[in-house]
Amino acid sequence: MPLPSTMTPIATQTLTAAASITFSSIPQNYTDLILVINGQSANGSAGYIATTFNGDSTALYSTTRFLSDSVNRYSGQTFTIAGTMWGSRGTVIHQIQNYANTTTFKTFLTRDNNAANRVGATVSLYRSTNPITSVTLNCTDAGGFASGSTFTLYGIKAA
Amino acid sequence: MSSISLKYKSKSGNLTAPGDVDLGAMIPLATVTPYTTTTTVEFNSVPGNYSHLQLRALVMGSGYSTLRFNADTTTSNYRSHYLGGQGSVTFAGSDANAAYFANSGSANGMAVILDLLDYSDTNKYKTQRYAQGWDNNGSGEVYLTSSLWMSTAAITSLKITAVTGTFASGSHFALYGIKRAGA
Repeated sequence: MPLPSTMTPIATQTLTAAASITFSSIPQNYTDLILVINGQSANGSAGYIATTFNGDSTALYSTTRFLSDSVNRYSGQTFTIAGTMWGSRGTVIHQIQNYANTTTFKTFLTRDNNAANRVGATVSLYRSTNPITSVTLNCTDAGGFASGSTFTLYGIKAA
Repeated sequence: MSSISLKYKSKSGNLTAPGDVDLGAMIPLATVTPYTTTTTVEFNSVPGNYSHLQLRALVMGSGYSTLRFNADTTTSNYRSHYLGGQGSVTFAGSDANAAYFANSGSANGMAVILDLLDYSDTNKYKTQRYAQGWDNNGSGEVYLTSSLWMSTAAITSLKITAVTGTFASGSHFALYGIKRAGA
C-alpha cells in the first residue's frame, strides 16, 4: 500500500447549519495542520470565527490582526479569543504549525478572503504546551454558520 | 540535504508496486530543528525539479533575520515590500537591500509561511511571498511581505541568518517542493 501523501485530508465537514463545529481526535503524526473554511454566517452579518483547542477556555488565547476593506486598513488585538474576523463569508485558512509539540505555546497564522468587501491576516497565540488534539470553530454571529459551509482539516508531514 | 526517490513508471503517476511512495504534489525536502540556540539555518543542494518551494517555519526567539539565496550577499540584489498591523497601528513600507525572513518581538515564536515561486526558472528574477506573525498576549505583529532576488540563477540554497537575536531550541524550519501537473 502506498504511503500517505505529504498533505493529507484528515476530515471534512459540510454543515446543514450550526453555531460551531469540532474536529476531534486529531492524529498526532503530522507536522502542521491546515484548516480550510469556505462558508458564510447564517444571518449574513460580519462576525468572528473563534477558534479554541482541546476544549480550553478563552483565557488562553490572544490575537493580532490587520485587514483592509475597499477604503481603509485596520489593525487590532483581542485578548480572549483566537481566530479571525471574516466579514460574514468567504474563505478562511488557518495554518497551525508544530501543533503536536509539547514544549512551546502554539502560534498560528490565518488568512481571510472575502471578495465582496475585505481581506485580512491574523496571528493567534494559544498559551498552552499541550498538543492540539481537537479544534472547535464557533461563529459568533447569532445565526451561526450557514448551511453549506465547508470545513476541511489537512495534515502536513515534514521530512 | 535529504532527498526522496520517487518510483513512477510514467508521468501519469502510476505506482510501480505496492509500497512505493506516493507523496502527492507537495514533497517534503528537509527539516531543520535546532536542538541548541543557533544564528543560521541553511538548506543546501535544493533539487531543481519542482515548480515552487514552500518554507514553513516556527521561529522561536526574538529578533530579526535575513534570507539569502545561493550565498549571494550582494545586498543590492534584494528588495522587499510589506504591509501589516502592530497593535492598533497599520503599517506599510519597503526595504532596499534586504529580504527579511522574520522579525519577532516575542520568545513565544513567530510563524512564517514562505512561498518561493518559479525558484529554478533561469529566465526571470525570483519573487517570494510571505505571511508571518507573532503574538504575545498584549503585543504582536502580523504582516504580508513580497520580496525580490534580482538574479536569474536557479535557487539552489537558502540561508537564514539572525541579524539580531537567535533561533532558539524549539524552532522548526521545513522545506517542501511543489510539483506542477504532469511533472
